[in-house]
Amino acid sequence: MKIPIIAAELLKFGELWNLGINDLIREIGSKTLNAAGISSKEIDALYISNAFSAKANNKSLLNSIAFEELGINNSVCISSGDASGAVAIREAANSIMSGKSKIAMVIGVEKVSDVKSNDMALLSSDMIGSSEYFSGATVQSQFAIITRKYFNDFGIGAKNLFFLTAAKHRNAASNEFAQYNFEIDEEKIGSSQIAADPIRMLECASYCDGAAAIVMCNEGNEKRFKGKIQGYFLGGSVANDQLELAKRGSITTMEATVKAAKEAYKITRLNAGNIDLMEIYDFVPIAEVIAVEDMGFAKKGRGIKFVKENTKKINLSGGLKACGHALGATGVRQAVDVIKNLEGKKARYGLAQALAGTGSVSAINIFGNKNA
Amino acid sequence: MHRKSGALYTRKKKENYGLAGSIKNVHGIIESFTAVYNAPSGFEKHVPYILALIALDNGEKVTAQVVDSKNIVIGMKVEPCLRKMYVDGDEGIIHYGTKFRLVK
Repeated sequence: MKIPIIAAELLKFGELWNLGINDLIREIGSKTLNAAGISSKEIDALYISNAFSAKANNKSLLNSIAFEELGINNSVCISSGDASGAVAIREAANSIMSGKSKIAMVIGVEKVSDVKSNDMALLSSDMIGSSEYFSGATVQSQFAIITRKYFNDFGIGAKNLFFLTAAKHRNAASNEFAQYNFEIDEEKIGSSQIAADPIRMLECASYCDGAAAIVMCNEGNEKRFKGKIQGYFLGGSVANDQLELAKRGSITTMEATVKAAKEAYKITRLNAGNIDLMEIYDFVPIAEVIAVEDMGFAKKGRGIKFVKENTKKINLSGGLKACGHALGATGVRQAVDVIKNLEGKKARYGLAQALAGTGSVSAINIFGNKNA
Repeated sequence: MHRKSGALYTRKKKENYGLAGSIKNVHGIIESFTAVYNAPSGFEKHVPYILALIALDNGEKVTAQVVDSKNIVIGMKVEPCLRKMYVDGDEGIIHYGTKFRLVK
């Protein structure tokens, strides 16, 4: 089933000191409603994705805030760590497919720049296992353990992935909504401070503020929004895995991504060969390498080669690294970028993949262009 | 009536201390590791510390710190030991837990 997307909007990601979480919801909400040409009363269901507002902003009822700021009824909050946005999009699509709503909206929003940086590590600790956290682990450190294991098992001469980060900043140079839309050369990335050996500080995405939103409608309304259609949602899936690396069978495969990809391909009757471009969760470079392997684009151990050859196909926006990682907003931002780039590149099918933490949740959504 | 101290309860928290007793006489092998420089609050004093994924003899795996481990490489043998983890603020409880050390 194809679900038309009639508006897909972004605010520039970054440290938005002059905007609180209420302001972000209002700004992105009104911008997106304007783009779709509808009033807030016409929205049948609103899904707000956010990861940390309860801890970072002392606000957990973002749906009530959305009612205050935008007057949208019938809204719920979706929280699944970094994957919140992607999960919310699938939920909105489900509500349309069930026939419950005619027009559904997703707002992804995050406001974390008021949190101090080492408190942020504490905050993000709820995305790793509690015994890992007790030992002083962070999301970065767990990915560093995965990175070393990957290099050890499949390394084939690779010492680092600095080229991947540099390529993403090149992609982001033309993206006006990215926080770091400038180039950084490999040497500078390689000489930056160590975050968790072998990962350097400039290889890690940084948490930031941001907001993104999309509006979808059902097939019955497709005619009404004929000129507005940006693309189509074709199918999505969410899968889970253990929080702790120690409880997983293999740490160089994200079981959740394997399951989610299988399901998403089944729903859309597509496979990896059909996908023209993608936005992938690249909190650290290894996450992207493992994701392309798990989604069937490359064999195990060949991921590095694949991402090297396809920098013009993966993360055209600059990815989490160059766009900034506004946790709850990131999944929605990825979807908006896929839809925009399908149009810009005259491509047919695009995919957005997001993980939560170190891969305990994986969400994959597949989109098609206007003619899909 | 005696008031029981908070430590008596925290000590029994499974996720924190459950490990300490159960792996007393178990050895393990380093599967992968990292040196953490960007640490969460409470761990700054230990930076950089080695954090490893360890495969134990009994088939289980754990993520834990490895102490005195300058020349650590994948595949090294380790054994558990009781160590201080972190302190809650200036006057709070001192948390102890299981870390590992290299077997000579």
